[in-house]
Amino acid sequence: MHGSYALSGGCTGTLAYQTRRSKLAELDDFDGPGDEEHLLIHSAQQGDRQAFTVLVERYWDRLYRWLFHLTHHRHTAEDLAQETFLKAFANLARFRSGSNFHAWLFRIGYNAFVNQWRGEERARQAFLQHQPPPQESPVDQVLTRETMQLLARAVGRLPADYRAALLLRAEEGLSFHAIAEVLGIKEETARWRVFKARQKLMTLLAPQMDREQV
Amino acid sequence: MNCDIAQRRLMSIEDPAQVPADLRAHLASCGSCRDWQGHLVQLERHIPFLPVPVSRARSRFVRKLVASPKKKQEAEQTVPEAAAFAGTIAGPALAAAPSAPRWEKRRWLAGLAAALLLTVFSWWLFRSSDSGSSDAKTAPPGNDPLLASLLHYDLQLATAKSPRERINLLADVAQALHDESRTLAGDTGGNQLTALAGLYKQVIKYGIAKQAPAIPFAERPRVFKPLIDQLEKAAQASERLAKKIPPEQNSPVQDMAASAWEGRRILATLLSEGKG
Repeated sequence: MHGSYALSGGCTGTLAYQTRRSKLAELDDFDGPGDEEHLLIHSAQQGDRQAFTVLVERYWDRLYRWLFHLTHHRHTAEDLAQETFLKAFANLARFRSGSNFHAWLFRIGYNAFVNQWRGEERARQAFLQHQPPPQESPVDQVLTRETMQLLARAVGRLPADYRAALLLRAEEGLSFHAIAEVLGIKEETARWRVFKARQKLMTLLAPQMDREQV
Repeated sequence: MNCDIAQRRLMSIEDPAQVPADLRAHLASCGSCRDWQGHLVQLERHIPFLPVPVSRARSRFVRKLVASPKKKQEAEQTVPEAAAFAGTIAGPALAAAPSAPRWEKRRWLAGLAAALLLTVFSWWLFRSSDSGSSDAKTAPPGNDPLLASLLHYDLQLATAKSPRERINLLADVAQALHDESRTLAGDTGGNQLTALAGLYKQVIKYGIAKQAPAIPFAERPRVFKPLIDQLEKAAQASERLAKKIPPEQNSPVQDMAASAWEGRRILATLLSEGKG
């Protein structure tokens, strides 16, 4: 069984490497992409693996969480995350400076997911078999355990296309434009998928939340 | 605005907590929709807290990633010996003409990864000798972006598990060689370009074309279409480049275009077989 659970994405790199590594890690201490990220990407494009490891540590958990929600399988999500970073590293030279690295990386991850799961049709594995047991979280105080369970189940049962789009919006905070970029669809289609996902969740959960409110 | 429209709009905006003015006006006067909006925002804000098993693979992956340059350095240190070995089995022709049939056969049998590694060595030898510098002959290839890139691909190729992975890596190698041709055409003589065109041809002919039939029919559209597109663009770019550069450099660039078209033709044929 799963031992512990990650409640949110984030970068808590614990490996200590030499001075250069530490300096690069300092650059990581900020929210969202900026000049520092461009610097890291530029260094990685020159073959600097230490710089790339900072990017890996920054994005691993977020990418892994998303892939886990898509696959419902820890090892598969880890394999896909690893494949994504290897491909990203191999193709960094093709990444255009100034474009959205976050979206570019998730796009590679999504392609890896699609390649693997469309071919093998393993996406049909029963959701509940792989869904970890409910876990207390800081926000349980706000949303009851029962509603959290329902939410987890409802998200897991969304069609994969809707789920992928909604998670990019709700977890990654991506705009519809960036979601479209990641999933290789039009912006309006991204908006539609998020809309449908929200609609399904609300249909299932709003009555429950109303009852709790009373 | 009625409640149904308001709720649909809430679900179609990026952030249901940040509503536009007209929607805000409706919410101000409709308690039911305010509650509804509250539920939507609440649900969405809880999604990042859904339980997910902790991944322990990240630190393992990072360790491997950081350790691999050591492997690369080791590989680089063995370059002179390996190059000498390559010279022994292939003779002096290796550096100048890596396309001798006997050499190609040995190389293919030695395995795809080994083949690429030897291709790297041959390119390194050729580039070193072409530069005319004694330092260049002993310097490891790590300082050369193309060679470093090819070594990196070689390490990946050695561990690739499926024909799909291998063909994608070979496509990257082909692209790296093609990109390099554009640099060389701009600032050096034609000799290196000729060798590069030879390598490009081999990667396509003995790499991609040999791996392609192993891709299952069902996977072919997904694997081949981007590759066909890549080769077509490379061929067109080489043809455009050939028109712009001096005549003495023209021929290898045209050869690269021909190789790319040939690769494209082979893949298109295999793709149509799959459809049949």
